Amino acid sequence: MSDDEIRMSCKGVDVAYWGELAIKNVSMDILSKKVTAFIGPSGCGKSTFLRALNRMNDTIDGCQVTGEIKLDGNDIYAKGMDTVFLRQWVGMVFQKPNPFPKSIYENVAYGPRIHGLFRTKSELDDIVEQSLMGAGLWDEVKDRLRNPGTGLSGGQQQRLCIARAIAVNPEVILMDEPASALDPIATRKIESLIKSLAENYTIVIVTHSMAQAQRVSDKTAFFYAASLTEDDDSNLIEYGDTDQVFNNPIDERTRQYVEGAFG
Amino acid sequence: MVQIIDPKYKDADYQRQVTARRRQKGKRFQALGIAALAVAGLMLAALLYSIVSNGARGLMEDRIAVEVYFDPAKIDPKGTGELSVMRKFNYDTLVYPTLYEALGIKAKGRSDRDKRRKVKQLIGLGASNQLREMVVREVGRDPISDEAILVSGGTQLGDTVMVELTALSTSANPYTQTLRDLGMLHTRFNGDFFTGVNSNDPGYYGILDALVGSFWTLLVCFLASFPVAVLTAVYLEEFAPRNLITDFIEVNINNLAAVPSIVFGLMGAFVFIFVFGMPGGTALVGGLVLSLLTLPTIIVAARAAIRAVPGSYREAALGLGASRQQAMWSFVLPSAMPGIITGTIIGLAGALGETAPLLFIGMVGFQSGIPLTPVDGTPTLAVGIYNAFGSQFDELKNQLSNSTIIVLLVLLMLLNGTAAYLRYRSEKRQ
Amino acid sequence: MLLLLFLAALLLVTVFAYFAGQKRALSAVRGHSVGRTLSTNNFGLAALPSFYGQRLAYLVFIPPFVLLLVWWLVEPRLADALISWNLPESMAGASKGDLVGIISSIREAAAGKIALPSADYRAAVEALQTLTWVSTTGVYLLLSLLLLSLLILGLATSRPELRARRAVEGWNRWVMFIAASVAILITVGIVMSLLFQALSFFQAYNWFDFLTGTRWSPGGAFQRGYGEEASGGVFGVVPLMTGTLLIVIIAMAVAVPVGLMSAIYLGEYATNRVRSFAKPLLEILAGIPTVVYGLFAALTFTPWLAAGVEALNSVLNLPVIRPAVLFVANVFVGLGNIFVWIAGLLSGLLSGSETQFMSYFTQVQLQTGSDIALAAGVVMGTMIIPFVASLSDDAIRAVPDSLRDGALGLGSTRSEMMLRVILPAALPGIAGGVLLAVSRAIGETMIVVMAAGSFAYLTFNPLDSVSTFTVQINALLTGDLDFGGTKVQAAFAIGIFLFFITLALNTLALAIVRRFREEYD
Ligand SMILES: Nc1ncnc2c1ncn2[C@@H]1O[C@H](COP(=O)(O)OP(=O)(O)OP(=O)(O)O)[C@@H](O)[C@H]1O
Ligand SMILES: [Mg+2]
Repeated sequence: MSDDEIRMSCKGVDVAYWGELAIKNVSMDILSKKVTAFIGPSGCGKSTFLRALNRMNDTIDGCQVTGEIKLDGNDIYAKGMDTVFLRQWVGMVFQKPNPFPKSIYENVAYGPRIHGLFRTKSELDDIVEQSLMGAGLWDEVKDRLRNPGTGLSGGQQQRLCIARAIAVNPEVILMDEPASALDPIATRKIESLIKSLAENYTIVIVTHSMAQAQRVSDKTAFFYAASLTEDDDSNLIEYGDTDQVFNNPIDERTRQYVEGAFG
Repeated sequence: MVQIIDPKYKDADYQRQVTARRRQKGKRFQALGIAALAVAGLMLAALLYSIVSNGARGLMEDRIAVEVYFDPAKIDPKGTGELSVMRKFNYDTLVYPTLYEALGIKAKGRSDRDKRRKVKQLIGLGASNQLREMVVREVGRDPISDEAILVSGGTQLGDTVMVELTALSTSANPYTQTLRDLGMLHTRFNGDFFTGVNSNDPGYYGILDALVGSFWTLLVCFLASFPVAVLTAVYLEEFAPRNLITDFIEVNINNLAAVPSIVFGLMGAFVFIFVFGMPGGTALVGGLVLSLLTLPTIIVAARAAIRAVPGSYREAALGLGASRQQAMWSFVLPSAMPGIITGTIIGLAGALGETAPLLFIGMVGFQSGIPLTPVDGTPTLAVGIYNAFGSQFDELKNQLSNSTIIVLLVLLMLLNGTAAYLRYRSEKRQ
Repeated sequence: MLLLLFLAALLLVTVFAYFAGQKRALSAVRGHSVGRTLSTNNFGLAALPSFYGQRLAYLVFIPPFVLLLVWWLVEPRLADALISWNLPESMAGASKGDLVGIISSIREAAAGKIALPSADYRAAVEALQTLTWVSTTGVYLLLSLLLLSLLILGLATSRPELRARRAVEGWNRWVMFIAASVAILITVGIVMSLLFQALSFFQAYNWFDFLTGTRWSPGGAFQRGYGEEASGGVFGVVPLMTGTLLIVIIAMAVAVPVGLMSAIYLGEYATNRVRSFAKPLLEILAGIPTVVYGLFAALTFTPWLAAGVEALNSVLNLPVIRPAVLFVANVFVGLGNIFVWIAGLLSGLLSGSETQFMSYFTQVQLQTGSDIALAAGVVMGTMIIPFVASLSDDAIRAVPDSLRDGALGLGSTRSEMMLRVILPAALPGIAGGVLLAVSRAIGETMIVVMAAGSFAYLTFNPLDSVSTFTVQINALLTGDLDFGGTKVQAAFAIGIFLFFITLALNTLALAIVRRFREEYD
């Protein structure tokens, strides 16, 4: 896989809440236009690490990130880095669908509006249509773009949030358990959407479902709570191709976890 | 890659411009917030400045020291020696000749009339009373004839005595400085303010009656609202069935909290005074009216406190075989008490500052004496401020009113501080 | 006197009953206690001894106490009734005024203050004397008897198998229920007393004139500006509505932006240090009594504002500024005239007259009234700032964090998140809060009583003096309260108006806030 382009690279990342390490010494490369899955038992720091990738942790009191995270070679924690700028490139989709209490159209148009990504109304219309198509929602909502986004079903809302994220044309999309609040059919839709999005975007997804990780991801990272691994120098236990992590894990704890022994 | 966005908009330079503009907007928005806080802060500062600068002046008073000759020819021209005759005399006229002399003003004639008026303005309403009491005092009234019982005040007619009188409106009077230079006028701490009772004469005005009146009023208010509020809270939280009556009670409590306080005053005047014939202007009626305002406050606080008691307490007590009421009285209510008391103190602090509901129950206007019981006529501190505001004397309207405010604010700070301390302590314990 | 004595006795007996009840129950089982069974406890009783005590205390206390209360309420009415029953036949046709005189002389005769005015009244006087004896002595004798017999009865029934706890807890529930019903009682009291007086008012005064009249001039001190008023006074509330509206609008213009922005700043941007002194600042503003604000508004802020207007006048008359100001004023005059022309064209009825354009040499002079509505409004707004701030803060906090994350995750700046996502989402809650604040401002009394005018001018000029509902209630009720007089009744009519306006505003506001909360639950 040497020809894979590296989109984000992390070196020795620590994340602490009020001085308490939640992520310890994590180094990994996230590959362009691939789906990377983060798995691991609850509380091991997956969300924490994911939020570190677009500095969403900045909004949390007492959260401190050290180490180096680079996007296309630029340190995102460098002094001059503007988070507003960064989050255009690294978008995020959350566990619970969180459409704004606005119309479907305005939900998608929100990003382009604040970032000034169009000049004419028809440009904006195009962006909204393209994004909704990209999220596989266009056919379902094209006749009611002016209806409130909060009126959609849970699965539709989550796809709306994905459309909203891709409307600013990010490079990377971070997804924190995007399907965990959805029923199986909606989950399938999201999964296939993720696969198709991977043609254009780099995707990082946190999931608790082994099956989901296997179905959608190319690479898998297994995290383990830092407090349990005092001896280890990192709580990223294993990182590799999804096939290998699931079928031929190197670390014993990975094997136990993917076989469902705990977590 | 599908191009959702025209690349020219994602151009780094363009984006830098856009972002800079957005940050600028954000700064402006934030500046608005600071400005808002500054406005609030400025208004508070202006308010406190006005209170302290005027109130401090009220705590000082100017006194005139003057020799008074109790001229028998004026006071009792017929030489009857009757106290009731001596009582009728207007004693402040005894003071003026000495002052005219000291200031070189002619005691008679047209030319110095304006000057004489200025001198008279210096002497307060109470001077006459003060001098009269030196000669003759009323100690009571005859129960049958209703005539005043008079005794001698000690000073004999013909005596010359050095007296100190309160000087009024000194800042505007042209003779203040001259008298000060002559050693006849000096400024001192206004002790009357703390030991005297309300009066329309700034020289004698004090707040002792209002303080006591406030105390009685709050006591009545507490006795009337606390038990009812706690029982209501217990009932609604623990025992009330879910039905229409309970809902109606809840709606009523919410509405009571929103009724303008002046409406309680209207109702109080009508119900307590007109219908029930309670004595107007008393702490009894005042406290009852105020209890209508504190009731919802205490109920809300008590309900929150009861709700905050962990369910495990209740279950533990029930598990030991206690009835639901036993669990309530012996476990839940005692552990909710700090919260309830905090809420009660806050409610009482609010009642201490209330004026509007007390406007129509006879507290406005000047009353006499320190109220020894809750059924004596009395103002409260807050009503006292309003009363002083109604005075025609600048000292009372502007200065002593603000001095009273200082006392009121100190009391409020003590009450609220106690509540804050109690809350802090019970939070720490948990 | 006897009342106090009786109350003391009642309390003593109640306390005694509490202990006697316990003793009695225990002594009944002493010596032959059967010990604990399914229906008895360790004492061999059906309930703890203290419950027997409580039961007996309840039993002896409540009936005499309730009867005493009832008597106290009934007695005054009974006196009137007794007198009219016992008046001689000949008095049936007497006029109302005469009757009042007769009744009061009968009362005085009964009290022994005057001699019996006429043999005709002997029956009435004697009946009244009997009643007086009953209410001062007889009632207490009877109640004491009742008390004693209750005590004996209670002791006799304090048997071990008595389910004392059930009885006591049942009564407890009633006591709690009655306490809870006090809230209803108060509301009923408010509505009844307001209605009672207001209805008398509307019998004397047409309600339509009241609601639509543009003159408020209750007579006496308020006739300034109009000629002598022959009849009792004119009560048209329109000037009060406009006055209240003007002051409330000014207050809201201060309180809403300042309160809302303070809440946003403190919740979103402020460092802990700023917060630690800004929060107490708002709390102090909230804790200051309204009479203090009133004094400040009347004696300090109004003069400041008047001085400010004076200074503004001299600025407005500076060489370049004056023509500019006059030009703007003339533009408005012109617009007004166009409006008048159109109105005149549309209907001959609206014969508004044109205004003269101002000469460019006119001295610009802003006038202030003796009281300034702006001063009262600004100070009232200051008072309401913390109220708006805390309600806005609640509304903003109620917006779920996920929306915050969503906005930030898309790269919003914090102010964009606030302005474009959080505030629109919190808008219903904030609107509800503002309505609550409006209702408070309408009912606010002391500031306007002290700093707004007492004469109800019909004007919207914020530098002029206006009057409000609450000011007029106070003015009408100052002096002797004559509950039969039109002025006092008019005050209650405004009172009920005020009551229902604030009630409606609050209900609406709470409904909005509740729906808004539900949306995010
Ligand atoms: N805001 C916070 N403040 C303090 N500690 C936090 C905070 N958020 C998370 N933590 C702690 O950091 C650790 C990692 O949390 P994180 O949410 O990243 O776990 P996770 O792997 O995403 O778990 P889950 O699978 O349950 O979502 C946990 O121990 C958690 O308690
Ligand atoms: Mg997580």
